[in-house]
Amino acid sequence: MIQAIDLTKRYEDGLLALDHLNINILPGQIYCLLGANGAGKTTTINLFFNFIEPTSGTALLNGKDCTKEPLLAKQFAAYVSENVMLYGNFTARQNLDFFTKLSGRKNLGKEEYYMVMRQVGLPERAFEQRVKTFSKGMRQKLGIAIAILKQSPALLLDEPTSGLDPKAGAEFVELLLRLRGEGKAILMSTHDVFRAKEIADVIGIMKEGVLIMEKTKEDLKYEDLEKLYLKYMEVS
Amino acid sequence: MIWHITRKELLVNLQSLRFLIGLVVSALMMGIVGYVLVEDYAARVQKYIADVQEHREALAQTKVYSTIAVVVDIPPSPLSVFSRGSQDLPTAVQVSPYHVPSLIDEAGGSASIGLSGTSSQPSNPLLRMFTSIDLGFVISTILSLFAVLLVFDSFSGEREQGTLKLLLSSSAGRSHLLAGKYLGALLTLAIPLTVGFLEVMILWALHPALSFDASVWAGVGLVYLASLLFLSGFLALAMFLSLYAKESSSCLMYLLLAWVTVAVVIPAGGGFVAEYLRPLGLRENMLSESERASTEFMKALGRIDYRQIGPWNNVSTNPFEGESFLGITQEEAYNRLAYNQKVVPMKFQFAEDRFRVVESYARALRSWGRTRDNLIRPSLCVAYDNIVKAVAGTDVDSFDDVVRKARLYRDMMMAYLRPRSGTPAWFTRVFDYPDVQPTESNQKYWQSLIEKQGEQAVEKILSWDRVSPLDLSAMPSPAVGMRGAAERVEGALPDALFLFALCLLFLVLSILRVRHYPLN
Ligand SMILES: Nc1ncnc2c1ncn2[C@@H]1O[C@H](COP(=O)(O)OP(=O)(O)O)[C@@H](O)[C@H]1O
Ligand SMILES: [Mg+2]
Repeated sequence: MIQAIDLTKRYEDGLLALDHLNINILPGQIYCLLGANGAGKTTTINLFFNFIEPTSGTALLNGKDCTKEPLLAKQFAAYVSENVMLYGNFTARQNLDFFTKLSGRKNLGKEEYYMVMRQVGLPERAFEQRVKTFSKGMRQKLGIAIAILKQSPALLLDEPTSGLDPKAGAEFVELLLRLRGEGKAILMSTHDVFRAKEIADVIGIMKEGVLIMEKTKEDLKYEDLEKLYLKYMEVS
Repeated sequence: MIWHITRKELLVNLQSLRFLIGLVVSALMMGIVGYVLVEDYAARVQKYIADVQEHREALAQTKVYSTIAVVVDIPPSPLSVFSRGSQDLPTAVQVSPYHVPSLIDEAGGSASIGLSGTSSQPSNPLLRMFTSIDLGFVISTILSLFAVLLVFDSFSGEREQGTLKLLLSSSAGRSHLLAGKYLGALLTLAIPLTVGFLEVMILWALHPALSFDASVWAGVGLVYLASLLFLSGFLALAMFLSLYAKESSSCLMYLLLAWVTVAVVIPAGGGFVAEYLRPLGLRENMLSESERASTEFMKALGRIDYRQIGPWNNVSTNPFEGESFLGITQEEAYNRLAYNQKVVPMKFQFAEDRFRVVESYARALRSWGRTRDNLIRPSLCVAYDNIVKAVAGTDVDSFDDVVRKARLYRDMMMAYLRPRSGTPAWFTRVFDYPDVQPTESNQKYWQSLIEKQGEQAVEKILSWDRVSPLDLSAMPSPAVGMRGAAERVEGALPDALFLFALCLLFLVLSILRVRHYPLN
């Protein structure tokens, strides 16, 4: 569902941010991309939405080339950024309504928006409140509500839990697990080793644009991910 | 898809402070300018009605054919509220046997009848280049500035605010986003525009002295459409430029610079540049040529033998104008008639010749004016101003059209007058009033009257006031009105197409550019 083939990105300033990345995430899988700041996680996700163009290689969503047919490919994936930003003067529901319509879904009623907002754990009183009053956690939740409403088979999340309080983080994980249950392919970047271990089906560790390790849950059963991570971070 | 973005843009704009401020400022400006110009128009209508009346009465008082002068008054255009057009365009054109009207009323030695509404200086609309403050000006400056403030951050703002990636992660493409934002801004701008037009219409409707027919409303509709087209073009330009800067603040700088260039520098600077390109010595040439023609004409006249018979009382002659003789003998009248039969055709010819000299000067200036217009046309504001002027009928072309029609009318008038130029009534009425003839018996009688009652008694007898006016009911009267709607639209079309093409160009460039707009 989410596939990268020799995906490479060299920025204009010459920095090689991503070096021949190969990954393939299947429906019902959560793939956690681990890496320090500047490892190339955001770059990877940006390539899938055609926010930037790859230097070489291919990013595919449901088999569609994200560079050649971005409009088509984007339909298969929803995006949640590290810091979801919305239109402050619009209410939560208005924001939801706008982005959902942009994703091509029409004729959704108020109730359906409320349902999803409940599902992601937004407090009822916030539904018709202007988003500029929201905390970061509330915005992240609304961001994932937008992603859910897109009803796409793939989900790409860029450090979605960074900066969330533990409770909100735990709720977030719950939600992701439920979405996996619905058969979605999920790519989540993070530098939170514990959370990755908790939910990932596959974990990839990235360093300076190179995927230096990729292990499944089974592989990791008898290993200490944290030690592994630190070990990989050290050697170069 | 695009519509959802448009709707969102509209909502965001309507909730913004800058929209509120812009709306208030533009509504105030358009209200004030609209009010002043509606009043001004009403005053000019009153003046026009009075002028027409005055000129008709003056014509009805004509005593001899050679002094006929028809003043064609030009009705003020109700749409002049939107465009005053070239300043100091004459409000009337004079037509007479000895004067062929031209676009430029210069070197018209015979045009001694002061035209109402014109200054004492010779009128030359071709040399004016700065137009006055009118609604078109407000729209092309204030609303274009509004457009700048509306779109300078349409992409950079979303980027800085962090919503751009989320927007583009949906099924919307970059060009959809561009189109949606563009339409949203256009709809937003249409609000102050519409408010301004409504203000003007209300002012019109409330004005007791003004009433309008359907063609005027159609004209208002056209000006409205032209304004939308202008704002579309300006928005497209602003949108395009805004895609070249990452930060909103530098976007705003670029756009303000572009605004000053388009709204101020090009229109004014182009005029200054054109001033250097103005063909030198044209006017001097024209004047000297006109002078030479006059001298030659006078020489030719001198070669025609004429010996005056008897005294002249209450006579006015001028080789360049019509003439009137009252106190002459029948003998002298016949003598003069014989002379006139040779001289009047020469005078007619001279009028034509002088017209040709002035006209060729006018054409030369006109073509220089076209160069100047083309020089500054790349500014959207100028193209827009041209459109509104053409629709309102306040441009030089419309005036040119009036003058041309006046010339055509003169041909008809001459067809009526030519046969009469060989009759005594061309210059005298002595045959109708034998008591004004300075015959010996009359002169003796006058002498005795002067002794008894003083000079005034004789003056009374010899006065043109006694003479009944000519019956001119068979003379064609001028039907010189404003250009028809179709013609005016046709006049506006080139600039409208140009504006449309510019708008498309900027949109296409924007679409090409937005593909590479950096999201980070
Ligand atoms: N637009 C850009 N131009 C140049 N370099 C960039 C750009 N964006 C990111 N980088 C660089 O690419 C590397 C990878 O960045 P990124 O993908 O954001 O890392 P991560 O998300 O893993 O923290 C970093 O060194 C970063 O400085
Ligand atoms: Mg990142």
